[in-house]
Formats: sequence, C-alpha cells, structure tokens
Amino acid sequence: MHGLSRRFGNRLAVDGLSLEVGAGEIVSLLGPNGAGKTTTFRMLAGLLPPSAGSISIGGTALTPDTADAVRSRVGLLTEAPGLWDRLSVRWNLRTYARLHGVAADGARVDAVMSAVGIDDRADERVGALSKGLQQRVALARALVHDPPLVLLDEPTSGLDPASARQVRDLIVRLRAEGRAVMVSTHNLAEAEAISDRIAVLSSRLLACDTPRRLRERRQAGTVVIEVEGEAASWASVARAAGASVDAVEGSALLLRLSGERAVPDVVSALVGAGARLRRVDPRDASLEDAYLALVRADG
Amino acid sequence: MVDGRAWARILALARKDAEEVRHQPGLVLPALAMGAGLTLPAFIVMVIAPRLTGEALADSDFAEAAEAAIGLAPALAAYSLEGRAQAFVLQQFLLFALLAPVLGSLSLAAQAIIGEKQSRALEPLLATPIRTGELLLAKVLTPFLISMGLLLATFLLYLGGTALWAEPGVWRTLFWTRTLVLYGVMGPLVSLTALMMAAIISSRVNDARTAQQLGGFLVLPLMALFVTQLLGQFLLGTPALLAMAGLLALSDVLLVGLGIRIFQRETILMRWK
Repeated sequence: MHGLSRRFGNRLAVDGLSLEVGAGEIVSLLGPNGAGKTTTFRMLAGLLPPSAGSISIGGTALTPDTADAVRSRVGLLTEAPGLWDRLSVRWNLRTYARLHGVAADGARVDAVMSAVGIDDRADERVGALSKGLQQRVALARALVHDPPLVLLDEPTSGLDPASARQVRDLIVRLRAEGRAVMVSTHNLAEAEAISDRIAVLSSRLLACDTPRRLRERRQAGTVVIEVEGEAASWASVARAAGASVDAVEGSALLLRLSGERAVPDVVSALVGAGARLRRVDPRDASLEDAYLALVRADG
Repeated sequence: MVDGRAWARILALARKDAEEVRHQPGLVLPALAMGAGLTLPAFIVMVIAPRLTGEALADSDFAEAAEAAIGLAPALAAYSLEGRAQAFVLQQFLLFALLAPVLGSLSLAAQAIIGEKQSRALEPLLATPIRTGELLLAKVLTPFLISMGLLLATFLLYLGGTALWAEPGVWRTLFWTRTLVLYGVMGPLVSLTALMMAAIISSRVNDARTAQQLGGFLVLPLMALFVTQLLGQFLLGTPALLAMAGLLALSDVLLVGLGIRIFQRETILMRWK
C-alpha cells in the first residue's frame, strides 16, 4: 500500500500509510483504538475504497474493476467471528467456498478444517462451539479459498490463554506456508512473539520495524540503583553522569539512561563519589515502553 | 449482467438461507397458518353461514351482485343461482390470498437480513467476491421462493375447499383469467414489493419484528381493496387488476433501485444500524 488514506467526513482515519508486506512475513499493526487498523484492513480487503493512495496485492492494483478478483486473494478474519450459528461448521465453510468459487467437492473444505484442527467438529452447530473453536472456524473461513494475503483483526481477543496460544500457533503456520500475514492486535506480547515486523499506527504510520529494533529505538532503559543510606544525596551525582532521575524512594534511585556505556558510567561515578551500592538492576526498554513512547510523542 | 459465477454465488447464499429456514420452521409456520386461515372466510360465507341462518346463498345479496357481475364475467351465466353466488364470493375473497406471500416475505426477508446483522456476518460476507446486487438478489431469493410456495398452498386450499363444498363445476372459476392474474401476476409482484420493503427497512432497524410491523403497512392497501369490493358488492375486473399489477411493477423497479443503493458495501459497513 502506498500513501493510503481514508477520510470519514472531517476525520482522517488513515493518513498516508505506506507499507509493504512480503510472502512468508507476519506484520502486526499496533495502535490505540481508532488508530485506523480496522479501516486499513477494510481497504486492503476491498470493503472500503481509499480516499487517496494505492493498494497492490500480488502485483494487481486494487481498483473498483479489480476489487472482486482481489477479494479472492485476501482472507479476512473480522474482529467478531460473524459465523452462522445455526448451521454446522461444514455448512459455514462450504458456503464461503462456493462464494469464492472454490470447487464444491468439499476437498478444500476438509483440508482447511483439518489444518485448523476442527475436522472432528465438522457437523456440529457453530453456535454450540466454544469461543476458541469458533475463532478457529472463522480462521478456516478466511483460508478456505487459499489466499496469499491474510488479514487478522484481533485474532485472539477474548480467548482464554490456551485458545489464544493455539490461534497464535496457527498464525505462525500461515507464515511457514508462505502467506503474507497482517495482524491487528492490542496484545504487545503476542505481537512481539509472532511478528517479523511491527507497524505502530495512530492514523499515520509512526514506526515499522522488527520488535528488537523498535525496543532499541526507545534506547533509554531504566535502572534501579540501591545505595546504603538515603539515595537522595546521590541524585546529583547520577545526573552529572548523564542519567535523568525518574524517582528517589528511600535508598533507591530510579534512573533513566541512554547508550550502552550509561550504566557503567553512572555506577563508576557513584562509587567514585563514595557511594556504597547494594544493588544495580538495569531494565531494558520493553516493547510497551517503545510503543507508548511512540504514541505519546504523536500526541 | 449475471453470469454463471454470479449465479453460483447467489445460489450459495440462497441455499444457506434456505438451510437456516429449515432450522427455524417457526419463520414459515405462522405465514402458512395465516395463509390457511385466510382461505376460511370465503368458505364461512359460502358454506357455514347459509347453514347457520337457513338462508341459501342464492337468496342473499351476493346472488344479486353475481347477476350484476355477469357482464364482467359472462361465464357466470353458465352456473345455477347458488353456483353464481358461490363463484362471486370466491372471487371476492381471492384478494385475501395475496396476504399470505406478503406476510411470508416480510417475515423471511427481515430475518434473512437482520439475522446477518445480529450475528455480524455481513462483513466477512462482503469480503468475498459477491457483488452487492448479487447479495440483494440472494437475500430475497429464498424468501421469494418460499412465499410463492405459500401462495401456491393457499391456491390449492382454495381449490380443494371449492371442489369439496361448492356446487359442481364452480372450482373451474379458479382458473379464470382474473384468478390467474391475481395469483400469477399480482401475487409475485406484491411479494417482491414486500421483500424489497423488508430489505430496505431491515437496513435501518435491528429487530426483525419491528421490520415486519413496519412492512405490515403493505397489507393496508390490499385490505382496502378487499373492503371496497365487499361493500360495493362488485369485482375488480382483469383490466383493473392488470393496471394495479403495472403500478406494482413500477414500484418494484423503484424499490429494487433503492435496495441496490442501500446494499453498497460501504453503505452496509458504515451506515447500517
């Protein structure tokens, strides 16, 4: 997608988003509510036309003329499963297979049910299944036409940890199958665990990088240094060594540092000034730190 | 242009809707019961009332009205006085039969669309290659076919009751052009009107009963026609019925156009409540 924008009245929901996702890659979209993640997915799936910018999927530009063809190359898992509860798993999937023009012999439906592990529930009514199983049926629906691009909108939202883990394993398997996968999520740990790259959105793209590089961008890690006696008297020494003092609590200094040499420099300065250190506990910037810093900086 | 692939998509969704109806017989049974119930008034007037009052239909106002209607329907002259009166009553009450497909259409189409909204199934559906016109057609196809089944069922009930209780040969009047226009032309057209109204209303409300109640206003013109006939002791002739069918067809074209506008992807996603 290049320069993708979408306006609703006066509100710019997506602002000039440019991003490429390759085959066999998982890119997660992170962003606060209303950041434009779902709108982006809807544009990519050909549900909403962009106000500006372009989308190309597998080399085919998405236009009103190509939208129907492009839709058959995209698998969309919507935020709500949106299944037909009164019908069986097989009926749900068979109907979607027919809508996508997949051969109605049932082989593809059987294969996709087997791939997501619901083949033993094929003839059960969807409404009687657990939320985790329903999410797997919805995932199977998104895959029934074997799309090279898969868009997953909050795929583990509301699932218990075991079900969420199973869905994450399925997502990772999609990458192994060579599909391009985009995941919208609020779960930072999940994004970090499965993503090759993470795109942080707040209407516009704030950053897009590997989870490790995003953490490193934050750079400023924090360190807790515990001294003998009151820590307040050592705060000025820490500041002089380049640290910013976030808090002083009894015998502990909470410092924010930047750069690889920061911790040894501060420790050396404190010891040189006569402080007796009990504990030095450096904490690396987490993805959450990096994400919040990006979003806060955007205002 | 609806090509082979488009039909495959339309039929896939219509079959799904039919399967859902199979799992919810309560959607069809009230309309079927209503259809059966609506055939009763004609037989009450024709068979039960004369027995209760001891006055033959041939001696009632209906016989006079039937005489007057011979000009409109010369075939009436071939029957006895009682047979003429019976045929006249049957023809008057035939308009009731149109209520069965209307009620069936309203109930089924409202459920077919509001059911999708309530289960939030529209967005994944719109992510398939189905075109919005196909979606509209698919959503009204199953209710339309079932409504036509209801219409046929009421016709067969009429036919069976007439063969059983009316004078010999009166059943033939159910194959007059007037009857065929009512069943074969006005029935499908009024059913389509009900379907499109249900589809349009369903896009704005989230409760199938509300949609049915709002769509129920369609019953009023039919009832007005019936009451006018009954009070005036006359029959609307085939030309009048065909003129009304023309108006219905025109309104259906307008409603389909409006329906297609409402069934655009963006409208469904962003404006439907």
